[in-house]
Amino acid sequence: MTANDRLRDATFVSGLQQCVHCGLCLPACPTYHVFHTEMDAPRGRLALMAAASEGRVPLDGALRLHLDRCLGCRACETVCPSGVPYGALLETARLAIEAERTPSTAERLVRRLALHELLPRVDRLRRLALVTRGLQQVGLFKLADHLPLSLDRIKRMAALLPPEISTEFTRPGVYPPVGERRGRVAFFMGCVQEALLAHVNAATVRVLQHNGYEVHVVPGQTCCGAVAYHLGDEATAVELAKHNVAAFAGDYEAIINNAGGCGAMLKEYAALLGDGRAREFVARVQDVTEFLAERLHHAPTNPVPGRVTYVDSCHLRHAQRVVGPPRRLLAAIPGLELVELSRPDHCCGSAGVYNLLHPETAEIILDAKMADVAQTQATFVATTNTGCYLQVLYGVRRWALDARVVHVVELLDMAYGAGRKAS
Amino acid sequence: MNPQALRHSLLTFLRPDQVYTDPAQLLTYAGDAGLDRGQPEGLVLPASAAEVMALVRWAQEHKVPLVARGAGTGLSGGAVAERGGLIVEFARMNRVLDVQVHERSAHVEPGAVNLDLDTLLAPLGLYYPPDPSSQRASTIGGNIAENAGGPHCFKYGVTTNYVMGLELVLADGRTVRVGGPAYDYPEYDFTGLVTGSEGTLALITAAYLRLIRRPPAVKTMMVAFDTLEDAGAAVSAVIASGLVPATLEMMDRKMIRIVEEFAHAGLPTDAEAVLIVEVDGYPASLDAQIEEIAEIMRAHRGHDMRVARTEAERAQIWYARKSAAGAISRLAPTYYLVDVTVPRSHLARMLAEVDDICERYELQVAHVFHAGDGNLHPLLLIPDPADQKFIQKVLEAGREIIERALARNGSITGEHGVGIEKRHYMPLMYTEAELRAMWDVKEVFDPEELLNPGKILPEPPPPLPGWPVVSIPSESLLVPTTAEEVAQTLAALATVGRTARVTGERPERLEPPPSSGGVWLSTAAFSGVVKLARDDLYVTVGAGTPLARAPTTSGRGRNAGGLGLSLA
Repeated sequence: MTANDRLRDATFVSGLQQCVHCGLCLPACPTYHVFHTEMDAPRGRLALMAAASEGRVPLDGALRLHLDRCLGCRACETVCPSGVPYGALLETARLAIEAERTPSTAERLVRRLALHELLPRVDRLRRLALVTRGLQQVGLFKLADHLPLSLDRIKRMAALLPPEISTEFTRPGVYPPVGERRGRVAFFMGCVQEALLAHVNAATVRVLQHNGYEVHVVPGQTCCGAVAYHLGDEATAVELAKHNVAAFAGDYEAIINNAGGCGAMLKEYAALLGDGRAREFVARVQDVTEFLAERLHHAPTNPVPGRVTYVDSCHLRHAQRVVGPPRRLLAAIPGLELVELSRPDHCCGSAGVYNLLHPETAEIILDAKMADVAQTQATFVATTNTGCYLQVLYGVRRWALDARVVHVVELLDMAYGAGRKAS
Repeated sequence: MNPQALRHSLLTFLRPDQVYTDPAQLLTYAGDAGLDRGQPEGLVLPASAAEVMALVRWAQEHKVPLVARGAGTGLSGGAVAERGGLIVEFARMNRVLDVQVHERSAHVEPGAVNLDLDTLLAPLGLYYPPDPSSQRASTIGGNIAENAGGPHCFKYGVTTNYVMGLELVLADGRTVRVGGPAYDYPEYDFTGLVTGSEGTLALITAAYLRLIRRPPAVKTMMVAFDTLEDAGAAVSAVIASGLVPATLEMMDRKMIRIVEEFAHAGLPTDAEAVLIVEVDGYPASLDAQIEEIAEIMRAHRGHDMRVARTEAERAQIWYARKSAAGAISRLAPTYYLVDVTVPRSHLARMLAEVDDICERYELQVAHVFHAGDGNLHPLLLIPDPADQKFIQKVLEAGREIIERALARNGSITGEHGVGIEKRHYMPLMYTEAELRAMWDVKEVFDPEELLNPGKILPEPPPPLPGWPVVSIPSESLLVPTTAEEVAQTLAALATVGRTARVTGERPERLEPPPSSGGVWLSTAAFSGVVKLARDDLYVTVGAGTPLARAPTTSGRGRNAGGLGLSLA
């Protein structure tokens, strides 16, 4: 499809017309709080998209600048009384911009490497993680601090890596239920999640087993395609989606994932592929917290003493509209006190690869989040998404907070007496 | 100035991230939440009063109009740069500078968001009552410029009742403080004058706001009705009985359904109308207040009364109410939101008239409004924003609604301001003398029309005709009996340079006549209550009425005494 086809598409145009410019989205937008300009708020971005659709502005310049600066957190969608499908409109506009644009050779190379050679290949990611872990252990990453300013981006990427990369990888196979068998579920493990936060996947499988589920870690599964899609590479996203739909075709009660960003993308497959198989796939996709909140067959009994605050994943909260379940699970853990953030609806600045592409803006947004986390005096910061986990982990170090970053299921895992001990 | 030259010139005193002149970026500032549009030539985001001052001096030098803007949530085009010039966006001047708990005042910058301020005040036990539906986004500066209202203004009054002082930059670049953190200052009431002036008189760089004690307890009740008229009559009855609940908000069936779909607040979706009634005060007083109101509701066939059980439930009801205007786009992509006020006793009849008008024009209408204030907000739906003929029809229906409101002694706007949208209705509401008086004020503050030009009054009203020459009175004590007579006497005295002193004292008790050819002008003839509108909670009295006198309904024409005094 050409850029014009996308921009003149009836669904796109009517979606834009839904906006009545009331401005109630402004306070929900993290970038509005950084820049305080319309162009960096949903209402202004929609105005730019409408202008592009009518051919009043070119597809580079202001339009691209301000859409690039959007986190895609979709907090505006939750507060929009008019029901503007902002996320879908943003994707369409980004695809249109990409269709017009000729990226540099270097950019093409990096994209090719990341989107085709790395993210879809979890085996390669695991090996890369092991190498990185080795380099960390010999102290090589400390050298990153001494890199010249021109290599700032690499420096920041290094800072975002967890200090201790887990090697508790989850291999494909069937993991039997503990106790009474209650059902059969498939587990989607993700790409970066499995490489950098393998212990979260391991905990997820254990917690499901503990509640009586036979967990199938389906072979042949691959990256969900979210990174490619948000960068405007629809072809790659479609390819990965087809691959996953085929891999999870078996008879599973649910397809469980534990990363809000991936889950939101998996739930987009029906719209992306538009066929019956994809719809059938989407009907079964559930976040692990969504699934467990209804099926906590065994109440956790081991106390996990401490205060926990929950940092919502934007793609779980705003895209999937899953708000209560992770909180209900945390509240079910004995000894743990749940303290809400003052702005739980605000993004942490991770937003997929946003913190790599817009490090300065991401850091301002992160600092606002960490100030909020700090005032809760929490000893645990619970998350439900890979990017948030890594970003908040970086934030806790940056702010020198005495808090441990975990996924919600890790705390459940502890409360079942397995996994790492509560510290 | 071309965009580059403009930017270059502004960068002599502002940082690069404070100045935008790219037309593509500026198109995002072409409108507010209403229907009016206009492309600015530039956008500046000052961070301090000093920068605002430098900007105004720059604008004077280059003759560039300045249009102040908060969050662009206005509905009457007040912040739309229809004559070009610069948008002065105050979003970055958003600090709450100080909260004086004991003085019950706050010192805030204009870009502070209304709800953020109130959230900050809550734990201190303080309350800033004006709560426009846009309060999640709208700024204090914008609220002051438009003299914003909101659901709780029925009991607590509108923005102007809470503005005690302002820090201003005048059109010539002077900075002044008017009023301040105390209740009374020995100066002209500039604060009252600038509040509601829509950025046409001065730029606000800080405000002193009056705060009140946060009500110790609140109860919110929803009441369903089978007809809009019953609900309207119930509202009038509550007011006539002298009760003052914190809110009396109404929604009709169409609005209820569309809002419930978005906000899930448990609104009764099969009712033709719902009232949101809130009472506040001491916890022990709430049930009695609710019961008293409930009795009136039942008498007007109100049913299914439900009181919010938790704070979360209550918050959700208000979230729903304050999302109403935006939610309507689930029915049609855009709408024209009419804002008119009628005396509260006319509410039910006015609602019926609005529906008649909409039926005649074949328009779909939804109602959501501040019933307690008699402030209607019919939303006329526009299914196709590109259909100019249809929009014309909608605007004509809007005009008829406004004319009906005026015929009922109402107002062309309840709280959204005049801006661009309502300016051509000003002559329907004001006499030439009144319009001229407003223009004279504008000319004093902003002789070169640089501050938000074209708003409220698009052009100078025609000059007033001279007064017929009357004979100069020879007595030293004058007791005029009509406003007309006061005006003629003053004009005659002015032509010969004699002074007049106004007194409310009874003529027989006035001792020495004023010196040097001056005269006493007595208001004694303007004595008594002109109108006591019990159902609408106001009284009109002559300027010469002794304060101690008991209100009785006898006297002369409307406002006669008041007008005489203000001319003197």
